[in-house]
Amino acid sequence: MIELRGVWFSYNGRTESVLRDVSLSFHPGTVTALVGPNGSGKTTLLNLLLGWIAPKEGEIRIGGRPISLLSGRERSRLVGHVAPDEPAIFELEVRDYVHLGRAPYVGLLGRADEEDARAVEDALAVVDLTSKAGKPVRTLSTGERQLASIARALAQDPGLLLLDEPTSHLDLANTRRVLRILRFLRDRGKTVVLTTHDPNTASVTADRIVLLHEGRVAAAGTPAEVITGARLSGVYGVEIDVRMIDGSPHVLAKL
Amino acid sequence: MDSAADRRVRIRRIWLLAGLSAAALAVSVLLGRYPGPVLTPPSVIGTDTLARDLVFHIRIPRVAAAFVLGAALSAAGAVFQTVFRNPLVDAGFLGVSQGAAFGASAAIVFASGNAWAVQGGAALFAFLGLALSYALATRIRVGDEILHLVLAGIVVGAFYAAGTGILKYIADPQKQLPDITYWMLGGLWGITGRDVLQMLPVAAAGLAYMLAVRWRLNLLAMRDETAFSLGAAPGRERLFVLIAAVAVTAAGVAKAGQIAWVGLIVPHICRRLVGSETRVLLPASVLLGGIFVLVCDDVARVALSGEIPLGILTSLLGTLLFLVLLLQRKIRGVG
Repeated sequence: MIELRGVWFSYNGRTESVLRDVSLSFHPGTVTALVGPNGSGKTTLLNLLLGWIAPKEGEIRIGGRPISLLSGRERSRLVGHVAPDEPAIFELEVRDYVHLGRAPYVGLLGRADEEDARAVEDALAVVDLTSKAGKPVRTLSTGERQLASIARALAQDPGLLLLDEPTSHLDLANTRRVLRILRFLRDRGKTVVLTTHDPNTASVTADRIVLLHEGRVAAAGTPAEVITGARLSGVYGVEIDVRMIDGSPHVLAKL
Repeated sequence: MDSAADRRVRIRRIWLLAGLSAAALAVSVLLGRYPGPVLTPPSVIGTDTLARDLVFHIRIPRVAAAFVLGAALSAAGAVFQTVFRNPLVDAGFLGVSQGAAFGASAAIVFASGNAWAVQGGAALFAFLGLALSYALATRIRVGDEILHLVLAGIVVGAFYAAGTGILKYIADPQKQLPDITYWMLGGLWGITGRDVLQMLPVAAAGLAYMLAVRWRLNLLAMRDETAFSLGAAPGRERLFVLIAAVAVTAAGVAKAGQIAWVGLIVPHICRRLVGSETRVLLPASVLLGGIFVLVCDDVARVALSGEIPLGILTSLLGTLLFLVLLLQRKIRGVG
């Protein structure tokens, strides 16, 4: 379990807090979506969970241990991260790229043993990229690159998987592929946390939604609890209509 | 071709480069203009004392220096390009080359061109270029760490270039200005065994470090958050490997002057040969870089009765090869 207690954060040299008094917990076998307007603190919260930045006040614990006390290798076996737009460097092949996810397990020269090779092949199979494993990442489509990034994080075999706007550059079909993979990972007991600016993506994928507004948790709960017209209208400052489709609330901003 | 077969091909190519390196080293020792132009028959070395002295005291040190210089510059180039996620960078990027040029010019103007002062000045200001770029980068607030370093490197490089311009302006046009120009053209004339021994420890240590961490360079080519999520300390690891790259560059240019294009072009050719995975790219760059400069230096000292500055040859060949790759659309970068 991952816990934040009374977390405050501001960037160096700035007095304004990006996150204010955030207390949350994330459980295995759940997908949590961090939702909110631009600048509400979603990515900052994700980077705090990654340990990339440290809170100014409060603490973050993974499995009961403060994240700041974990070594790089320990932390990277527990927490994986997928950035929104990973640059495709030169011409690294997909399999070599996914193998980088084994960094927490392999030695300095990255030599793979049987377990590493199996983890890479499993990860490629989960995202359905086995047939493109020998191709340069650069030649993949945007959607496939995102899947390759997810495969790299899966090869890492972390308990907590953080995804920053994983579907923001994707078309409908690729968005569906990514979201189905996230639900598959949840069913395998992973803790999945994603940020999204689209409440509908959050609603159909997540078990729980955390709505952030100006650095504070405005609401946290199931999609039906959090996604209400009145609450979203207050947060986004526009008139919002919410309709239930297949049991999930869907959002439409009125023009 | 599956990945395993592909990997075997790449490994075979590295062994081929190693064989070519050994052959180039052996043949280069026999190349020269004594007793006759181009090739010295091995039998002559046993009988002709002057030929033997030439081979052992002049050619072997020079051949070794050329190979080490090429290996160092191209390995450093591969590191710079990977770490900065930019296919068009080399040691000129962080104010390193400009710093070396400024240091050498300052020594020529203010220390009467004393050889130790020129080499020391070049090395000192190359490192100062890196230190200034890093110090400045921490104060820049636009973009990510890579962009901070890129912007800082441009500023520091331009600052050094202006300083070198001032030095050229105040230099004695009869004595000092030609020395500055000659140093900037680059070359390995007058290299002795002692020079090689001075260059070797830094070059060997820097190359050994870069080769030891070569797989992790792949991690440093990713976004910092991603590298961090994989257990890397991107800031620290990047700094260490850049120090190694600058150290080998400084060790080389301190002895040879400005040798352009090697660090840019050789890693690109190697990517065509063995791919971009840095575990194989780095050894390939070390070997091909050594061969490239060695062959250029062989031409520089053998082609004409007078010596052609090595830097001119590497630039000429480098730009031609770059043009070929560019026209074939083989220069590839980010995304």
